[in-house]
Amino acid sequence: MILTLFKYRFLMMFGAFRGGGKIGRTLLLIFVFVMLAFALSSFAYGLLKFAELDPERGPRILENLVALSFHGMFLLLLFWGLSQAVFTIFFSDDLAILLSLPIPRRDIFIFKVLEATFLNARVSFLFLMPVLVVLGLYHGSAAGYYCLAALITFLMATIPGALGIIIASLISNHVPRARLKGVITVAGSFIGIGMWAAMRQFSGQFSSSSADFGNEALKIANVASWPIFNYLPSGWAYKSTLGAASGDLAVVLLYFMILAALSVALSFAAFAFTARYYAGGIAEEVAAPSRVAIGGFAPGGSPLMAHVKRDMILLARESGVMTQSLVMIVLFLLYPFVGTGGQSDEISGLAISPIATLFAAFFGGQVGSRMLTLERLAFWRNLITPFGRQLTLASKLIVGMLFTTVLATAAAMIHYVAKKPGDIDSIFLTILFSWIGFGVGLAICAFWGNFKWDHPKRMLKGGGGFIYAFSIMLVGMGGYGLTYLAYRYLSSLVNPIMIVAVLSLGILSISYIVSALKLTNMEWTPDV
Amino acid sequence: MKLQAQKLSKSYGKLLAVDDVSLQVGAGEIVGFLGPNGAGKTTTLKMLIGLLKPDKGTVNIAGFDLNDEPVRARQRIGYVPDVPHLYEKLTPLEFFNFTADVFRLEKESAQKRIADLVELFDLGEHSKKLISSLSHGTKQKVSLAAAVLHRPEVLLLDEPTGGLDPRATRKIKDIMLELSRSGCAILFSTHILEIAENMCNRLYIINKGKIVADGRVDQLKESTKEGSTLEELFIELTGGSEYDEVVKYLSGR
Repeated sequence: MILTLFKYRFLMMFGAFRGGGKIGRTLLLIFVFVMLAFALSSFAYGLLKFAELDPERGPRILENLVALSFHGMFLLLLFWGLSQAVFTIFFSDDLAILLSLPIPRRDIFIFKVLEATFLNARVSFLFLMPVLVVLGLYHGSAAGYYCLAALITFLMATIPGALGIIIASLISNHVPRARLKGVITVAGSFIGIGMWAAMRQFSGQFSSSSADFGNEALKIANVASWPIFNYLPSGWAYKSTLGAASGDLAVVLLYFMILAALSVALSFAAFAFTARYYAGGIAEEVAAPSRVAIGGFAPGGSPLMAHVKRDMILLARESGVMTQSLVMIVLFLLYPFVGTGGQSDEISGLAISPIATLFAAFFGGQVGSRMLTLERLAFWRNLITPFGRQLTLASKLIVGMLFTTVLATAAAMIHYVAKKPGDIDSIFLTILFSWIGFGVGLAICAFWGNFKWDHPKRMLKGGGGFIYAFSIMLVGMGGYGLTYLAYRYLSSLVNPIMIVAVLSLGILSISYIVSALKLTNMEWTPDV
Repeated sequence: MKLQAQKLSKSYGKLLAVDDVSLQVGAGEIVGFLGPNGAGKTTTLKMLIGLLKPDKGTVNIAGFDLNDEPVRARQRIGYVPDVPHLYEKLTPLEFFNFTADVFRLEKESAQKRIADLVELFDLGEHSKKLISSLSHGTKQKVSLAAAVLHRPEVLLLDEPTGGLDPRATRKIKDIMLELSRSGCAILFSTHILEIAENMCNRLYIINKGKIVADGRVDQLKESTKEGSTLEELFIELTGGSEYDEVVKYLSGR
């Protein structure tokens, strides 16, 4: 039965790429995969060449980088495992139908635990195998090494996976689904910011064009020698792999056994926790979601005010927007500590850095793309109420701009005021860039959003994908360039803030017109 | 006539979903709109409300052409869809207040009507909960209450009793009768022939996008063999005899 379930899982996985409309997505996926494989192979090949050319430092750098890869992957999987466990085992969409079928529950939860484990393991295989292959090639290892390396990688991946399952089983009954998504998104954002900060710190020194590349690389690779790593499963996995590559069987056996023992113990615990959870039934919403109280929605206002009040309430109760707002504040808080923004500011002579404009545009874009989706399946009501099509857009513009203004002001004040007290330009620029992003997000959602009322899961999503990301990058960085030019060449003629204000109002106007055109002609999307 | 649709047609690509459909509903009339799944009922109703643009034909609501004077026409319609898609993150009370303002009801009048509807639909204990936490039946009641809040001249309902318990179904029937007495023109689609037979002044039966019969229930029955029920008439007109094979299979014959 478990095999049947896996068969159906694979069918579902590949079903996403079947049909004429899916060709583009499949090609994109293949392209991304090929690019990723190429990048990883190039990195691995470069590493191998370096290790061969520099016999003194090369092997140490290679081995320490392999160790770092294990540690980095393990830390990433700790978060990834929790996320996979929550959405594969506890809030999976197919769970209700599986439990209603005459399949033993034991088979279902074994299938689900294995599914989560394999999903976790595939990431580690993708990223670890290139460096493990390099290690094997360098040591001239036999074929058995590669099999053992794959097994060790799998065992290491099961540990954070099992931990994720145990933690998820403990919290899934107590935290509503929507909130759990928010918690995971915030946690993921913090991890992402942390990794990005670490990469920036490293990349500042780690340049292959540098004459002192070897010493710099060694310094970074030596991070792997931190004592704490000896106590992590990734440390055991690394030592076992290195032992296998160099033919040290005693080391292989010792660390492999420790790793396998922990993996088996935690996997059993994960099965036990999952079994207990499934025995108690599936978690729906734990309780009625709490309401954010918004005062003053009594009848008697104008239709426009009614739309504004509605959107304010929906926005305040939209956990995703609130999560993103928090991330925006965190980005602005952390940025001065991890980036080289100060240097950019000094180079350009501007009060605001390009990364900050990008943050602001990205945040505005996220709010803009969510303003229409806030209404979800009830959006059609705008199409049939008197003035609904016109008023809803005006309301989105008012509420969205108010929201981005408040958040952008707060973020800019946190970011800049301590650094340059009294610098008002930076605050205005941050607000204006968040408006620019908002305009782009709103228009792209209106134009490429999935308005499919007969498919509740698809209705209503922002859409736009690559175009959205590209447009935000374009307006964020391009806008920064224009701002730089305005300050450099036009400041004697006109206040440069005015030029950026005109730019942002222009983009907002275009966005409004494009969105209005789309809404004016919008119809119900029939399911035929 | 409060609702008048002339020669409506709608295609989705090569599929002709609605073909030359004309409908009329007078003030105080309750008209049933029957048809098998996929016959074109929902598409027709969505054209009548303005959610779909007809390829051909016109819709007139209480004297206002839906295409030429959409705002005036929409102010006079109430619509209850088959699935109660509501603002999940609003409470019923917030949703009613929003609806009242959108239809420009005066504050005192709106408050009184909302209070009356909350009581009428037994929504008191649910009125301050998020709509997302309500059952399907309660959501349907909220949807119906919002549709009649502004006292529309024309009420369109798509399977209004779907997913409702007998008590709620009875309440909806009572409300429809009450609204028709006050002059509201009601057109509703349903699969429950008993409701159609008991409540409707007239019926339209649609099949494969075309109106295949219309008239009073007794007239329609008279047009077929003596002693036929509405169900038999419906099966005869819409070709439901293919289900006989299914019935035979299920009964093991």
